[in-house]
Amino acid sequence: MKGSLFIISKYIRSHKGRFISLVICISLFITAIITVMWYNDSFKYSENEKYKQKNGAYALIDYYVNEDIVSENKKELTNENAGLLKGYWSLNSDDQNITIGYADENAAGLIPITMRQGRLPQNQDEAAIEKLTYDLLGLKADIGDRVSFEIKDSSGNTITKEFILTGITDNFYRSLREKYNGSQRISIPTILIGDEDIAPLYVHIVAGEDTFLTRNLESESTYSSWADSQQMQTKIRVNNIIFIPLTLFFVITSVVGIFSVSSYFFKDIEKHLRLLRCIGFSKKKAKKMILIYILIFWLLSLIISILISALILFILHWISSYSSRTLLISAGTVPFLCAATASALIITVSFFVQLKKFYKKSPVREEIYTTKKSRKSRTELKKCCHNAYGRKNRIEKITCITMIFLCVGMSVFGSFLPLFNARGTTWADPDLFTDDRDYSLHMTGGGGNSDSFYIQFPSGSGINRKAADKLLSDSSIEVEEASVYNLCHPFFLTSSKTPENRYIEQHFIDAAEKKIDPLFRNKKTSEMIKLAGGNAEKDCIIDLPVRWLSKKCVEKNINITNGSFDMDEFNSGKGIIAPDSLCSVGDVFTMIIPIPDKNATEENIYEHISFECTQIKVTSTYDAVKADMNDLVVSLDYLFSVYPDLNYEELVLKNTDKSNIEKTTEIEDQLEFVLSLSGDDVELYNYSEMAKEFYDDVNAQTFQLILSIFVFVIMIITAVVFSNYIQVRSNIMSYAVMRAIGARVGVIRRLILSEADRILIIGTITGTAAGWGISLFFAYIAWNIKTWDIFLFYVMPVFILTVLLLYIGSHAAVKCAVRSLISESIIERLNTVE
Amino acid sequence: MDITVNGLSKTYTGGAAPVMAIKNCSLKIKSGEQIAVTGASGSGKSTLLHLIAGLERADSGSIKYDNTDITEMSQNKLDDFRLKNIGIVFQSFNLLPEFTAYENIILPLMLQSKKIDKTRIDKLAEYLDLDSRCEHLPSKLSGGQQQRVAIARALANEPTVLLCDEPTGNLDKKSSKAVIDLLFNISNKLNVTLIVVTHDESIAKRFDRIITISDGVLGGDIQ
Repeated sequence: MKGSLFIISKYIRSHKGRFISLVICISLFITAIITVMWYNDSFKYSENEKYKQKNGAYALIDYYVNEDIVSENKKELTNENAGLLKGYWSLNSDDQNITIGYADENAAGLIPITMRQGRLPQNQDEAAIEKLTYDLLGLKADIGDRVSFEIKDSSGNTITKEFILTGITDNFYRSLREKYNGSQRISIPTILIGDEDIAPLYVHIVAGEDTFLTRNLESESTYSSWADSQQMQTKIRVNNIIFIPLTLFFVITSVVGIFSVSSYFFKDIEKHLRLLRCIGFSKKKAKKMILIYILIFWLLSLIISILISALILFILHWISSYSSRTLLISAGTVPFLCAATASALIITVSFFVQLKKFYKKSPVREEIYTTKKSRKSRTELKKCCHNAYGRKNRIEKITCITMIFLCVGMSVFGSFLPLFNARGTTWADPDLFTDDRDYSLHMTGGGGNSDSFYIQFPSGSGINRKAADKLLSDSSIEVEEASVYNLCHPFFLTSSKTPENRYIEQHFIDAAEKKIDPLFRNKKTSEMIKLAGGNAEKDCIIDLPVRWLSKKCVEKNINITNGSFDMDEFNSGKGIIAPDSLCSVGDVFTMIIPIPDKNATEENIYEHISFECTQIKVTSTYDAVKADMNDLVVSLDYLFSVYPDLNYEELVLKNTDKSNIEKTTEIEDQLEFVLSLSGDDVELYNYSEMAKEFYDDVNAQTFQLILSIFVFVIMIITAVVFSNYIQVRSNIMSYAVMRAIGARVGVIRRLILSEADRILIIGTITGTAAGWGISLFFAYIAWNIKTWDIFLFYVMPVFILTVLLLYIGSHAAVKCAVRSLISESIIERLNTVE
Repeated sequence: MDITVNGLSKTYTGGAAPVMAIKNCSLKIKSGEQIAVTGASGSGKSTLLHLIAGLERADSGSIKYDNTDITEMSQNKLDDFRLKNIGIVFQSFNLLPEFTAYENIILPLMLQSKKIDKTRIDKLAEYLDLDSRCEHLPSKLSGGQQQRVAIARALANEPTVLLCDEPTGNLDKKSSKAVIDLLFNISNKLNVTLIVVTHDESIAKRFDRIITISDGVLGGDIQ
């Protein structure tokens, strides 16, 4: 053992440069495997954390759970990482559904309830309020101030409760509300106090895991995050589709590289082994020595590779922290163990395969009395060297060519793919990436019972108009669309025998074709006919599709084909716009608008409805084909003037001051405010955020890919450079002999470079063909996506830079390796015991 | 080519103390002469040969081939001079292991990008009894064969000077005699100046002129 260690230490000390080069080569390959696996893990971890931050970390929510069951299973629920959200008191307010309640630690962590300011309450005298609720209540209190609320107690009496304000939380009500699928109006406590032991009005359970217990609790509605989290997993899987080939590239290249470098290392120590074998070093001792070599070689490579991988990951984290997608580091032990085990295995296999071959040969010299010729001699020096050294370092040369092929190919395809992928996705979903809109509020429900005049219940459905109008008056907001379609369904008087115009005639024809009753009939029909000035025996009521649009909406979206658009006539409700396929300018309709009052319900509608009748005339027509609709377009302003309690159904808005972050935050807070006052079936789409998130995703993917390619390319170039260096050094004795005969250093350098260039050319040509071929193929099959600029401005520079770096690196390595031929005396070099 | 060595000195540094391998040596060698340089191990005889070959640079003094002073030459010119005019045979053969015997022989010609006169090389190989082994790698040749390949390589460029550093050092007695006989034949036939470094007295005695060297200083010059 001592002897082996002595020999090994002598070798390392006398060939420091070569040994370090070999160790670094192996480290680079191990680094490639570890880094790509750690990066993948970090990416998944970052996505998961982002998902949890946005969507909560819960797997399941049980809304309105039976309180007794909760009390019975409280301990088990806590053990199963389930949290309780309890509501104690409602605020004494008609308009608002604000509850004071409690969220335990588990619930607060899973939702999550994060603090904008201050902290969560710890006792019954303290309270923290959600930001939106704070704004809704118009509070001005600071942290530490006392706030008082008027609440209704269990007997229905109003009492005042006072708390110390300990914190303001980020908004969480909306995300919990969106997951509710029950029938009652949902309550979630948005003023949280620190006391758990008060008789609750309701209890919700927020569970971190989907367990048997939580799945089987009685509840009004249960939300499972399975589908949402599957979406996120799909996103990660899609990302993997890009990453898996990359990882494979890294792994295959690394395996080949490690095997090749290990083989080379063994050949280097083979001369020592041969000498040792001559003086009686047994096979057993040789194996032990090899194992020590492997251990030192592998351990050093592993340590260096871990340090480099950690550094790369840290740099990626730091760079990404300046973007909106910080890469959170997740450096697990599994990738490290995989890389460590794989590299140890490959090095060991490589060494022992060669050791086995070594012991089959004679230690002294080969057969000398064979008549079989080795090979045909060449008479040209270049060809001679190519043949001679090509045979000697065949595996290393093939590995080098393969690495250059992968490097160049990847530089082309890897720089093309991320941008092509981003552009392709943008092209596939243009609606998301239009500049025309940033936000939309949209009522998802609609329609109702035909007996109820198609009115939407409960009353007050839709987008709260009062709150919305306040937002719309903001100078930074441009209204792209404001409309009502289902919330108010007007009716029309017509003669049962002779329709007034083509439009009404078409209604009867369509009804006949669909075999449905074209007429609208209920208890109030006669009254409606009378109010509209019709004859109950001759006339009837029909319903026609009407779209109530704001004037700006008309100007933006409706293409007038005939007549003229008179703003005043339109706003007064007298003038309407009709489809040119069915109407002519001058067509007249008698419109009856049903208007329920505030107390109207489905049961008492007939007692709480009135009608507004008006004569409307077609003052202009629009291109029905282009607009892809056949509705009568009537003024929304007119509708609101006759039906003041009606809300908006659709709002599409544009933020004209997007660069102002404060303003944008204010607008988005206001939108949340409007949403909280609107009906439960109103949804808010923040296209800005969606597009931003999409572009963040794409940019993150692009960034990851580009970075991975960059790291890959740099590592391969470094490995190629070191490989060239090692190959030259391995033949340095032969070059010294040439020098002794009289060869100039320049001649030898040119000889070596021509060999290096040959490898470079083969690898570059094949890599270029593969990289460009695959990229052009993708561009061809997606011919409608513009790609010439990607090729010209991204792919070409990266490709040229890669080839240049390979060329410069290889040449530098050769020049560095050949330096000793100049600096040392020829005899010193010749006399160096190898 | 006449060789004139004047006041040559060479000191090796780098060890514990500097070692003066050659101290103020001067000698004249006529064209076509056959000289043996003898001395004890470490006396400086190989160093003297290396300096004359231009493989090392002297610290002081001059070495002239006819009127050409190689100590004044640049490295590239020295390499060219050595390639065209000097043939060197080493003790440990120093053949390129990846090249065949034939390729090793024609190496000096390939380095000059000269057209290979195959007939001449074949004759040379035949003369050195290598014709059947030309397509073999050095590892498949015996010691004597390898040395003959080295000699053939040294002669490939038709040098005017043949310098041999212990050419028989790794050979048995029979092979040694054969190699020395060969060297003499070549020198006589081709009128090549022959300088052989040897520690073997029996070999040295065969030469017309014996130069002894001891501790870097030229001792006897026996004609």
